[in-house]
Amino acid sequence: MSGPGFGDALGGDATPTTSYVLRVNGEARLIENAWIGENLLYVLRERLGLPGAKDGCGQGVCGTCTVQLDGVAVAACLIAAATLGDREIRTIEDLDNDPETADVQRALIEAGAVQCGFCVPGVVTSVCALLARVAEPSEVEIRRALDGHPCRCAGPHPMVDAVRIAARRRVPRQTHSTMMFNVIAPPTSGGAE
Amino acid sequence: MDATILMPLSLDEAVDALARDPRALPVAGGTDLMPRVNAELVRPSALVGLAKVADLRRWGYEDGFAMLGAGLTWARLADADLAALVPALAAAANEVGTAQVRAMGTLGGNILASGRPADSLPVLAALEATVSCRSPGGVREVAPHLLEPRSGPIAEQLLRPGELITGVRVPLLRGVQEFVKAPVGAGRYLTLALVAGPVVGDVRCAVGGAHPGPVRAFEAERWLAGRMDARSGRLSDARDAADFGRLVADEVRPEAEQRAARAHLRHVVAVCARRAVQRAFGG
Ligand SMILES: Cc1cc2nc3c(=O)[nH]c(=O)nc-3n(C[C@H](O)[C@H](O)[C@H](O)COP(=O)(O)OP(=O)(O)OC[C@H]3O[C@@H](n4cnc5c(N)ncnc54)[C@H](O)[C@@H]3O)c2cc1C
Ligand code: FES
Ligand code: FES
Repeated sequence: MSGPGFGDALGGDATPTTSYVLRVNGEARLIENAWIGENLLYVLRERLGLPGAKDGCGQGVCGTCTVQLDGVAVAACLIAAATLGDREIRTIEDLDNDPETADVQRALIEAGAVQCGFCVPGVVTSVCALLARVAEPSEVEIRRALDGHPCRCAGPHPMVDAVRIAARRRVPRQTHSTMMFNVIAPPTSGGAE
Repeated sequence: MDATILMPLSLDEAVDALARDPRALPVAGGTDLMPRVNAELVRPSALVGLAKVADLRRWGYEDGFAMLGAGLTWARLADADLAALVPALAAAANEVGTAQVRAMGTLGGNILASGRPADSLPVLAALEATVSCRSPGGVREVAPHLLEPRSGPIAEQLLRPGELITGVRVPLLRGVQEFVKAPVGAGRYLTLALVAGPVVGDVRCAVGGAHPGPVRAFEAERWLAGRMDARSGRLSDARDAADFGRLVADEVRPEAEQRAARAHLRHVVAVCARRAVQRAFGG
């Protein structure tokens, strides 16, 4: 496991620790006497009992650990949990309560994007973040938002199809006037800040 | 007990925190630091989280320059407003890692990244931007294009212990800016930034990934400037782009252990430079 819960394994007589509060899925959770280098993925899985985000690589390349930070998809293994402050974390466990998430999950199944399933919680988390930001993302926007989710079973194309299916279902048929509105004021793209 | 986690709220507090404990590591996005922490290569004794220092995420104008905060993320640098100011940096941002890395990874963290060559550095070197390094003693401006790119990690030359990068100062240019990135195997990339200023004859080109720091191709730049038509700014000959590519490769001489690998890298640099010129000048 890449999770750094190895205080003793590192001969940890002087393991620097700290206690802090994390905002996870709408609740304030107290993390006590934790090593300061623990990544968010480890804290979620091993301290808070939230195993939905997966530990695939610990190096930021596989995307299976994706969670939402203030609504943006991020890799939990790349985040020093103790330095997050009051930023809001949302994991797949909580996203699962939204009806929109069920639509995304259904679309992924229909498009053939769910095979071994290991990448899926991360993909769903990224797709939900994308669709919350852009109701009808272009193909380029979809591929860019999902470029951190290498799916070893189905490859990238089925998940792109799934986003289109989910977006189409979610957006009510456009009237002429809303189409005009979109031309005048295109939805802004962009990131965290 | 010593403070092991510090969450400063201002630049002054952040600089003070680092001055008090120079072994404390700043954490911006964590995308460069955490893979090393996870792999047990780095074991911080204290962390200074920069998430609450709003000044690091600001940007603005200052007579002819854009001031970009060190805490701006790649995703933010790619947004339309900042892309219009510094197109080559936005082009680099668009090609960084994955969406998750672009959402968290910052400009300042990239300049000091030790995991892999920083994609921002060739851009900053070609633009002749300066990096603002702050300590309790004041602010130092360091120009990446004036460092020794072949002699070792750029972070060590750039920053003194206890200093914080607050941002970069980028000259606002009216000409064209191009950024080209090419994978060369084993997770390694070569990058190239080309800037052709509004004045005919002002060409600058820097290559990243070939050496520890960004390498400017000064002689090739002068050659290309000499090929520009004094009035139209266009190149004299369709073959200039390819010739420029070879000159850049000869000057930069990318590093690799084996001769065949060196030859391959040289070829890739030449192709990147040719493409950048073709995009910038057409043809
Ligand atoms: C999967 C993956 C893909 C990547 N792809 C790319 C890529 O394509 N191109 C590329 O260039 N990089 C890439 N990176 C590397 C990294 O993500 C970027 O360099 C990123 O911009 C680093 O910024 P950060 O804020 O996350 O740095 P951090 O990890 O927070 O910090 C990096 C270093 O800088 C120090 N530091 C941070 N901010 C400051 C400051 N303001 N003052 C002083 N010191 C500071 C930290 O102490 C640390 O030593 C990739 C990383 C991963 C995991
Ligand atoms: S565990 Fe692979 S990206 Fe985080
Ligand atoms: S379904 Fe197996 S990795 Fe994506």
